[in-house]
Amino acid sequence: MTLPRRALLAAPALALARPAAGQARPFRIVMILFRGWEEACDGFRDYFAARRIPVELIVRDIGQDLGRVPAVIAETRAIRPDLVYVWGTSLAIAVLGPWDAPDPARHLTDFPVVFNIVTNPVGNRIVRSHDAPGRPVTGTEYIAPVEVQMRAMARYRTFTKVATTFNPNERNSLSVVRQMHEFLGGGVTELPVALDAGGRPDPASIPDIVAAAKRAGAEWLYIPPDTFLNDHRLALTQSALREALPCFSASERFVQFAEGLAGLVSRYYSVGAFTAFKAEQILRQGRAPETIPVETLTRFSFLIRMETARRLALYPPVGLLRVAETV
Amino acid sequence: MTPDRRLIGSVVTLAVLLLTLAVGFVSHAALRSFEAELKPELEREATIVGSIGAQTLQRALDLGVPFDGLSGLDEYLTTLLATQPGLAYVLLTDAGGRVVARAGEAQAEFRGLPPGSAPPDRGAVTRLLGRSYDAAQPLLANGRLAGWVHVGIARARLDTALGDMRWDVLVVLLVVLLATAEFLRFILSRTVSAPIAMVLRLQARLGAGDWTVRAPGDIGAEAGRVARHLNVLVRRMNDRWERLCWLAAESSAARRTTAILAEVGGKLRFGAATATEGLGAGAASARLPLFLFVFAEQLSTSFNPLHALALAGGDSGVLGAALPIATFVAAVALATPWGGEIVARRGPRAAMMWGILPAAIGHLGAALAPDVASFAVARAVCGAGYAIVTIACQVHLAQEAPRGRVARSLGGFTAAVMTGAVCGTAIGAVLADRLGFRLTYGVSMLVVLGIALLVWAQFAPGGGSAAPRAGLWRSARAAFAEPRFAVLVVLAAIPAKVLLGGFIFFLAPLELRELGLSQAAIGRNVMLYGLCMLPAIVVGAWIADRSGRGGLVIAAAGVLNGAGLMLPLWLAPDIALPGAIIATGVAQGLAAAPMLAIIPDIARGAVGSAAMLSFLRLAERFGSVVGPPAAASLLALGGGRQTMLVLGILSLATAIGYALALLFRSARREDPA
Repeated sequence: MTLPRRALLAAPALALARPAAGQARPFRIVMILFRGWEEACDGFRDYFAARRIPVELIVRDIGQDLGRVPAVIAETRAIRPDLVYVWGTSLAIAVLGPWDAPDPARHLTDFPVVFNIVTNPVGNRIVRSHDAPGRPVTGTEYIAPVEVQMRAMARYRTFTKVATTFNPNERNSLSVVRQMHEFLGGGVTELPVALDAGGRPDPASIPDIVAAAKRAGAEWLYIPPDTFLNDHRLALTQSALREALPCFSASERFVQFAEGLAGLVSRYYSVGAFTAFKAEQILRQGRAPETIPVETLTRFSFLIRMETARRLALYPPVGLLRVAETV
Repeated sequence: MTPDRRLIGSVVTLAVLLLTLAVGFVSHAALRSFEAELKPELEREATIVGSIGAQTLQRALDLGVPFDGLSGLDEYLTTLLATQPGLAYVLLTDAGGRVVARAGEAQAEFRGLPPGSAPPDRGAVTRLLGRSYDAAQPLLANGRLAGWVHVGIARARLDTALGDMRWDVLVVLLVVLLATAEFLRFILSRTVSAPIAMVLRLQARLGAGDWTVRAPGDIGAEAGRVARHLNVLVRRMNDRWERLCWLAAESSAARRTTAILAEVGGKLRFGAATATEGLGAGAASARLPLFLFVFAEQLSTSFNPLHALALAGGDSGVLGAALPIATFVAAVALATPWGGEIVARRGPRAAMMWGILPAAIGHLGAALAPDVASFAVARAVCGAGYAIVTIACQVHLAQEAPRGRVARSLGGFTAAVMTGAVCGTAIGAVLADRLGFRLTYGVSMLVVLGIALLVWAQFAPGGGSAAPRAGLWRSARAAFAEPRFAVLVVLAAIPAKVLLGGFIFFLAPLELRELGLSQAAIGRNVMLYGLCMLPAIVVGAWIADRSGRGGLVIAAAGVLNGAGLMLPLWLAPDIALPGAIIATGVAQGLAAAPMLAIIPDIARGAVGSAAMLSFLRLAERFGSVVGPPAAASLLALGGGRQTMLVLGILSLATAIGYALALLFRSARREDPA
């Protein structure tokens, strides 16, 4: 388990911090994670270190198993933290429940919560609206509006047909695909990942899906913010490369740590820091979470993987290189 | 030509010649250095844009994009071209100089750098290529030359900037020359002509035997020495006389000698100073304040309608924009008779001071006006001051003019007004370009206050009389009962001023702005009017004097004016507008002198020519009042071109009407014979 090491890593940073006047003990934050510690968590932790705010981070990872949520909730209640940090859309839905009808027995309702790496929190009923969450929960979004992503994709390479694949069990992916349809109309080919007998997505179906996308005449393969696909990002992007199909993704890992061609992304690290900024408003300034709007970063990075561009012989337009970040 | 006039003429000519040479040389040098400074500036600009453009392309190459694989080039180069105004083209060539992508207008003779050209260590390869400055930045792939980014700046931009500079220099040169002439004329008149005239008058009185008179002792320079010397002479003569009288009284033949001396004393007058021969201001002395006053007033001519339009709130307030011009001219018309009264009662000096006060207040008000209504009021106050000052100067010129030269002296009045107008319009436009409209009104106010000081120091008080004047209404009726006068007023004087007010002062600045001209360029164009009018006044007077057919000149001028305003029918607006301004200037200049010259012919019987002249002026003011709102209404109805055509037709029709009336009259005169 990596958790003690993470806690240790945080400690030196905290040791440097000069405790704020009147703060008798560090703020206690329980971090409930969906798939382990990653860059967003780094950003969240480093923000406090940089601001010299003493915090005690208690990290709990469910390892993508939502069945472990009730135990974590029970433990959190026992710890009685000052704030709870929840990572990911599916986990946020499971931990918090709908904003207008949470079940106090199953959902966490007793503590202020910030969420991070969540897609469409309003559509997923985590909060009432962006401006007024309607409950002591606030947080950040990390996905650029779908329309903006589609335009960014067209700026690299104009298209009439785009295919997208996703885990049909993930509501965040479904929400993005729906918005794609609304914006592009009939030009979208939906290729959901096949489910096995247990209703779980089957990674073996990925190469076939990419081939199907190519056959459908797609000029791009769009990858929504999807945890299953993230876990199999190498298989997905390498299949696309074999089919000479460029991938455009909504989150950075498909480009940064796989073979995806491009993406309009918020850097996870920055989104994590932004989430910590909201946490600071709650902890230090005493603001009620329900008064803090749910926001997204206003600047996104246009990420381009040059090696993939070279292998596809699909180079970015020169104008795009003025603003793009390359990996 | 009298000696003093010849003196003034030659001194002014010499000064103007020297000044022209000096200013011409300085301007030429300035323009050369301007060009020398601007050229590297343009090259630097092309190099900077090129290096920015090359950076991204170089980054693409460094990231492994092959030169042939560069995409989205046209879009990128177009964006680059738009970053800086005045770029002629941006284009990309390969290492062999072949054009790969381009944006903008590269000239047909564009040639890329020849294959094998070595990339510079830093910066760009710059060269003059046809009519463009070209800066080429190298692109390297794997350390080898892959291509060039060329940025071109059209030389036309430099030429335009230089052209503008030349115009400004020319305008300033012209204004300096005209102003120098006015100042020199004033100074020479004060220091040479007036003292000489005084000495001549003194000499005449002494010659007539009046030895009680003295020259004023407060004249400076050489003339002062002559005056003092003369006074010493007169005093010595008086002393001698006293001594002679004493010796006669003391002599043995006292009775006889006293009788002889009494007889001489009866013919000659001796004694202590009883009178001082006045220096006299000289006719020319009123020209400088008048010139300066008109200069101050005309500073705002080129932008008055623009400022009014801005205050009235955009293009919706076209009629409102004409209001300040109309109130100004209306105030001038209404205040003219009143100004005449003041001059008659208190004399020119006091009247000028009375007129300067509202003018200064008016300029200040115009500078501060928050809306078009208060601006119109301020302009009206200015107008009242303008009326009083101009009439005061006119009367002063008439009073000071030597006998038999009243007409020429009044010609000097027109010349001073026109010179002031030309200089004021041109300098006003330059000032407005640099200081803004409001501060330019402030400059007008300062100049007007300066004139007050000048008048206070240089003009002799007095000159007024309490004599009652003839009834205004009665003489007006008598004047207009004379058909030749009525025809002159209705068919020539009023239409001319409607055109002046409607076209030159209102429509032309607005239309010129529509063409996208800068404020200085608008001023230059409007200035053409006065520039053409000045020589035309002389030519018109000469023709009328030689031919004795002033009426025909007036009619021909009307036809010329009409034809000028109809130029948009045949020519593009950027040529037609200055053409129409020139035609209006020439036409109005040609008609100016004949119109005045006709008056003494007509004015026989009940009405004096002075009264008729004032009614002619009043009628002209009426035309000027009507002109701007009429033009504004036409503009609101149909647009600038149509307005010009309608004004042109009006001028043609009235001119033909005037010619027919002349023919009819001469036919009637010949019939009885």
